[in-house]
Amino acid sequence: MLKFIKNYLWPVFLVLFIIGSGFFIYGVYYSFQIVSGDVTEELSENEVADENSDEDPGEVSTEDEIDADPGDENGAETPAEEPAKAAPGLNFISLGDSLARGTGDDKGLGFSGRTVEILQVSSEEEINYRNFAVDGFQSLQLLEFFENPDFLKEIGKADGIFISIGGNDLRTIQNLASQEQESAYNSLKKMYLETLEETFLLLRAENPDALVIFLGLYNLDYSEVNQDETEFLLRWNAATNQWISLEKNAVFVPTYDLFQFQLENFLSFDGLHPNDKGYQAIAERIFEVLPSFE
Amino acid sequence: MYNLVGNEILKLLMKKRLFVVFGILLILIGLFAYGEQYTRDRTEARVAEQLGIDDIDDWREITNQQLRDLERRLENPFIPDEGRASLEVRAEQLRYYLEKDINPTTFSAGQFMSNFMEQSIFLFLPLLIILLGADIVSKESTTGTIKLLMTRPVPRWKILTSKVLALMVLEMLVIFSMAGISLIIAYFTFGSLGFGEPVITGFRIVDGSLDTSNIRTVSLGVYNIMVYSMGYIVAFTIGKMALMVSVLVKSTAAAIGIMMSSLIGGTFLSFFIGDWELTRYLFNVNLQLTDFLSGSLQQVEGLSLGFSVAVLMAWAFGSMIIAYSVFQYKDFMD
Amino acid sequence: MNDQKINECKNQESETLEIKDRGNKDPVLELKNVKKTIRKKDIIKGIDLSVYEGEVFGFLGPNGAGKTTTLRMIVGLIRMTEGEITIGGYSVKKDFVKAMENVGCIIENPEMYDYLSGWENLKVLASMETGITKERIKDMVSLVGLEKRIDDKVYTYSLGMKQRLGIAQALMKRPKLLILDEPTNGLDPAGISEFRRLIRSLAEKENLGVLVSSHILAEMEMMTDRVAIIRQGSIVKVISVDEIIKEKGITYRLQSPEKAKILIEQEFHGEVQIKNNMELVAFVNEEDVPTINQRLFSEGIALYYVSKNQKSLEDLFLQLTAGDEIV
Repeated sequence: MLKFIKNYLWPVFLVLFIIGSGFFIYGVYYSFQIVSGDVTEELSENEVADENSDEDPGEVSTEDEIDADPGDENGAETPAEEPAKAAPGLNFISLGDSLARGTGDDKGLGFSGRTVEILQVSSEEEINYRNFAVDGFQSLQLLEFFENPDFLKEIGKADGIFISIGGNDLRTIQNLASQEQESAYNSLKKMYLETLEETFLLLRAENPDALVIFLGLYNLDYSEVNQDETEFLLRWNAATNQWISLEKNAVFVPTYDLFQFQLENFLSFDGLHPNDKGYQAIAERIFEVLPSFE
Repeated sequence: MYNLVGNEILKLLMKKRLFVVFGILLILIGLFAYGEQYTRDRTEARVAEQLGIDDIDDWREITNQQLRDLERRLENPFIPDEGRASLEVRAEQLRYYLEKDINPTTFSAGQFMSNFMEQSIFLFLPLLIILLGADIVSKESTTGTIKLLMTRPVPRWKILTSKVLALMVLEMLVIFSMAGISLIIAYFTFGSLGFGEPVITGFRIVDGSLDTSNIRTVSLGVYNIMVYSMGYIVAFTIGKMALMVSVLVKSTAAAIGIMMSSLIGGTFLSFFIGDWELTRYLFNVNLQLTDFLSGSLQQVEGLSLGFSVAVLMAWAFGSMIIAYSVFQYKDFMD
Repeated sequence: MNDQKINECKNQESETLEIKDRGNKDPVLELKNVKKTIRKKDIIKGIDLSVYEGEVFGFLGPNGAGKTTTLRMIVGLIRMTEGEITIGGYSVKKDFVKAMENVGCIIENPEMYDYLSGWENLKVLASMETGITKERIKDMVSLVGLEKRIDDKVYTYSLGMKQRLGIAQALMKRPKLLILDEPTNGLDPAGISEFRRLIRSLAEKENLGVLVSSHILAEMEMMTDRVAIIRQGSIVKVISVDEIIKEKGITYRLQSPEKAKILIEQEFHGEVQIKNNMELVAFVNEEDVPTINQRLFSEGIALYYVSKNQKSLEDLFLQLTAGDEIV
């Protein structure tokens, strides 16, 4: 007789219901916690791995992570801490986009870090290196950095400043129809140069003597296919070169020729950024160009 | 009351409808799992072909590199909060995969379970509940067995309450089945449970755009509990509404038809009159509760988890009030 | 049924029938000025009714007169607009639970849960109340004669079996009042007469008050003690069945009607009208007929046949409900 349903199944269902309700209350409570952003306890089962455990104990020493106030735009609640006093020795910083960041570099150094590495070998002094670059940055965003007083202090301490910027700016006109491209390019370049000029003014106001190393753009496709794009790139590089070279204590380091026949070897598998070899090549070229440091 | 609810459960079980529901679940989940597996295999093959490398083996290197990139960026003290949080959670995820030696592209049963509920919660799950509950009163009215219930020395509200409670138990059963069946089938298809994996959640919609400043990770097991709890809220609400329609309408077919058309119709309405203030109070647009957890943007603006749950509860209790009032004073003329 | 058979049945029943003296007992069911209005139309216009323990009360009327509506109001399926219904002293409106504890009913078709067995149906219904034991259910099953099929699913039952199951369901709780709405619908004549026997014995043995509605006049006449005729929402007459018979009388075809007349009038106190030299009509109680026959025989009066003037209830019914649609 199927009355056993009533005698056995129903109580089982009732128990399931009670268990389910327990899960349910937990789940709903939790969801509300999460959605309202009340992060009261560490809920993840994983321990947060040590920040430095993956770094290579290389010859470059990066300063320890400091909980500095990230910026005034978001009204962050963590109080700002003073950046540590400038360590003795030389101070190099890297600014700009993903190339300055070192994206695609297994060691994470990028051209700036590797240049410092090379310098360190022949220098008796300790070289301190900090990287403030951000993937995807454009010239305007770099300029915005200079509004941050904490950041300006870092600028003030620097002896050498690596900058890579502009590639992301130029890419914005890539997808335009060819008729529009010329006028778009012109206004873009104008804005870019004006932004750079303003950036430099702020930079020099803070630090008149630091050496500025500015990186040129390389092409992603040297074949004959995209001649228009290549032309814009070359004109861009030329304009930047001209302008940087007129500044004091600043040098434009081209990469266009460096990558021309070496694209396969120097490019990382994402087809955009350099790989270790590529960054190393850039670093060695920069090293050739640098003056000696006291 | 225990006996009354037991009787109702007996009646609900003896109707073949429940087994139809289970059958649908089994078949559908089986198909989904197969489809997912098939798509993934094809994508993997395609990617490997394109990049020219045997991608699967190199996942460790790639993941390591991605992790390092993230960590470098985190060292920048000038990153705004938003950026920091999103970098940190991604780094956490990658660390987990490296530690547990899991290729992050592998698909786990846990992921399948949460995907399944996220995709079913606004249409498929309500359909199942409607199938079960739409004739809970109307069928007894048509067959005449309601007379048996009404002429017992039991007050009408108790009779209706026993049906409400029985339906709630079945709603829970459906949620359990969805979880259980998807877990088992997915485990056999994809092979890994994956409940420890970290899942990114904690998104908020502020002024119509995504605010990632409070995002964090939770383990996939906990995430599934949350997602399925959202499922129960929807099941509960739809169940109460179906019960109300069942009290108001005599024919089972009409009851099912009314529920289904309001469900689907309301969704269409929200597409076309999306900016009308009132659409946000419709129950249909508030069914996508899991979107709040996973950070998908809404069609209708201005919703939050609290608001949606409140709207659904209002619909559920409103339905109950109507159902009880009508049932209490209804004349069974036949 | 032909006249003789009627006689036989009647004689059988008369032996077992005892007239109960109701005295001052309270009615087990009482309706006072019960009204029902739907959309401004009065479909029940103030019904007063009393049913006592141990009596079978019939409810007659044409289609749409309000029989079913009234019965449904008694058991709470329909709410009355005005009036009072008490069962066993408890008001259906105010004390529904206590009132319903004393009532068993079958309203129209005896629908049960098709996908359950007869036994399961009974158990499910029994579990909704207290005090119905397994033994009691078993007794009811044997009372209605369903022992062999009780474990089969109800969808396999014939109408008669469902009917019987319905009775079992109604009687499980030992009610004081039994309400039956058109209970013999769809039964064959054997089923109908079995049913009649059952109801009468229940009224006798368990002292049950029974309220039956039907449109089979012949059956009503045999099954009930009193009858209410309802027409267009009001009761037009309440009459005991005995009185009906008494009204129209019993026809005797015999020799020496004058002699018979004297005997009957003297010994049985009933009026006798002589129709012709072979027939007389005696206004006596049904129960006395066998005794009268014996007396006539012992006096040497040859008896050809005795018949009840059959159309009595039908006549009355048609007279009262002239012009309405016939059930």
